[in-house]
Amino acid sequence: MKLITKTSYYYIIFSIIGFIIGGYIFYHITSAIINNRTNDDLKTEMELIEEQIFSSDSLPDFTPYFGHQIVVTIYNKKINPSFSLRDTMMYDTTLKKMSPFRHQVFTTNKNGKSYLIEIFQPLLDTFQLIEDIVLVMFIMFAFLLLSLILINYYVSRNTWYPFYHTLKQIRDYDINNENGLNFTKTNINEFKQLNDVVLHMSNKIFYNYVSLKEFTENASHEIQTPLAIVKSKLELLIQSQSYTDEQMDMIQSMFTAISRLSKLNSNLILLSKIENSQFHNVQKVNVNKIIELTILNFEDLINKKELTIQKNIHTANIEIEINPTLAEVLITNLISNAVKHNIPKGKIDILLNYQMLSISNTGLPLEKDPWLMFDRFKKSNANSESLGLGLSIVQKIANLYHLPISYTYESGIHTLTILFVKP
Amino acid sequence: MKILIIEDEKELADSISIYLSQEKYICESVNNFAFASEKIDLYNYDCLIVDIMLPDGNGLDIIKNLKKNKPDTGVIIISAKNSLDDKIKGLDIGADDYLTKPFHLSELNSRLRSIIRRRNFAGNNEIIFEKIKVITDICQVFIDNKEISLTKKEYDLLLFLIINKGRVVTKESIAEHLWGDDIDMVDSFDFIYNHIKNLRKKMMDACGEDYIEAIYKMGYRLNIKK
Repeated sequence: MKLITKTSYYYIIFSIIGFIIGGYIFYHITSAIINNRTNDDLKTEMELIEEQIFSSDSLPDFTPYFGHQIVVTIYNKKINPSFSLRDTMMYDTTLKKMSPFRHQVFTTNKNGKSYLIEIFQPLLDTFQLIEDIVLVMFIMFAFLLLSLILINYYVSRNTWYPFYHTLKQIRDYDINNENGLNFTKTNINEFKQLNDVVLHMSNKIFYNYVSLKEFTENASHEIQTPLAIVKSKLELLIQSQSYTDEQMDMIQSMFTAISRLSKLNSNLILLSKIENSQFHNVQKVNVNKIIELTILNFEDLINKKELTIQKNIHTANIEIEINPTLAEVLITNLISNAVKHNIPKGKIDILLNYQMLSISNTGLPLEKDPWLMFDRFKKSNANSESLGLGLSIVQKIANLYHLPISYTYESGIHTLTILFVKP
Repeated sequence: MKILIIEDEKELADSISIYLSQEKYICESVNNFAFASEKIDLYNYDCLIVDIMLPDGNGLDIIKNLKKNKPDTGVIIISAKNSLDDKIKGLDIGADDYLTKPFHLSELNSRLRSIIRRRNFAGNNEIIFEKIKVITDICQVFIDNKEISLTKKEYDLLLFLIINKGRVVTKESIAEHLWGDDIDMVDSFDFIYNHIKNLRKKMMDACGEDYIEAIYKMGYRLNIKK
């Protein structure tokens, strides 16, 4: 889940718990305070009445108000002093129903007369008051909680913005793009550190990448030159007339080996260049045309093996966005593979439309897992002279442009398919 | 024909020099940018063979300079780098051809000949070898003054052999000349054999001579009959 969600989640949970506990305590304290207030009032009233009786021998004005009632019973003798304060339910004439009252009873004496005084204080309003106060408090708490959550959310979002921006920069990072990484300025230390570290790392990676590219080119140069020398010396060597057949055999083997070495070297260079994304120049390329030209190139071999080519090519020109050199390499390798691993008098089917390019050829079954064929240097049975790099190059190119590639073998027919659109 | 070879790898420069000298070219070679610039200023050459990776400079600059002052000189670039960008750059600034190392000397010879032929229109589009006459700008071949028809591959093969006459031309170099990098070695030797067979037959039919000699295991040689 998102960071904000998680922090908000915990924030809400603990806030609610806090507020519940707080609310509970608040309710009891408020109740207690209001209750004490009522009791204090009753006590004051009691003292007033006593005072009145004591000083003036007469009773105060007891006009009932709001259900508040005072009942006095006068005895002409001394009675036992009594005192009590408790809650009771009585019929309230104003409200016309049973409701709670606080019942204060006390006695006092004066001049041989005893007064039993009962004060009845209605509690419904008090309870109502408590309820109302608690409700308001609850609403305020809820409002507070909500606004704190919202504030937390927006503050978090703004505070974390540099982080998300950095994330996006890293995600969109393309080593071939010279612009590099651009982080937003931030004064939060942790994010500053993060940006610095990532920048440092990306610079290191870029440096390694450039070094590797240069190494590839230098390695190729270094290898090609001695190869060129050997080749040229061999060629001069054979101009001389006097070699035995045996010696000619050896020289021929040398020639063949050197040619293989050359081919191998250029293929390896090609593979690593593709891996290093050194072919980033793309154009709209006419696939139909390349296929036609390639088939023409392999004409001799096709005729020699007496292969039938069936072309199922869309009439309109199929164009894909690809580096032109890689397009040629891709199609050459595909058709070369279909021709070389074919059986005499075999067949090749070429299907080309807007969705895909599919090349099928008759041929001997593979001895191993087809996907291993794509690994460098794994060869199938027939042609031990051929280098296994061809299919590896095809796969690399397909992967580079995110074109799904698949291989199937069924009833003696190998099929390689490259899709131009997402399946 | 005066050729200047600009190549810092001595062994390679020597090989090229020896081979081309046998072709009756006059060859000079230098191994760095500074000497190359001097030579070009002082003398005139028919063609340059330039390696663009020189220790003290870029061969492309030599070519640019040359094209400014002596635009009639032909240029072949030889380089270990096989990138399309380099090829385009080279050809853009005026080079006539671009050959990637490692290459066959016979191929270099053939390309050199093409450039010189192209640049000297006056009378040099006829190549004559014994009874064979090839008119290159219209690709016509006459043997004993009788026109014979050849397939494209046969024509290319014949021309290649004639240009490298008297030398053993390996099957590899023929294969690369006719089909480029794509064809597999093993298969191509069979085709070469077929094309040679057809060529020989047409030669025999036209003039009764077979100039092509098969060199055991290595390749073929076009021989001057004594």
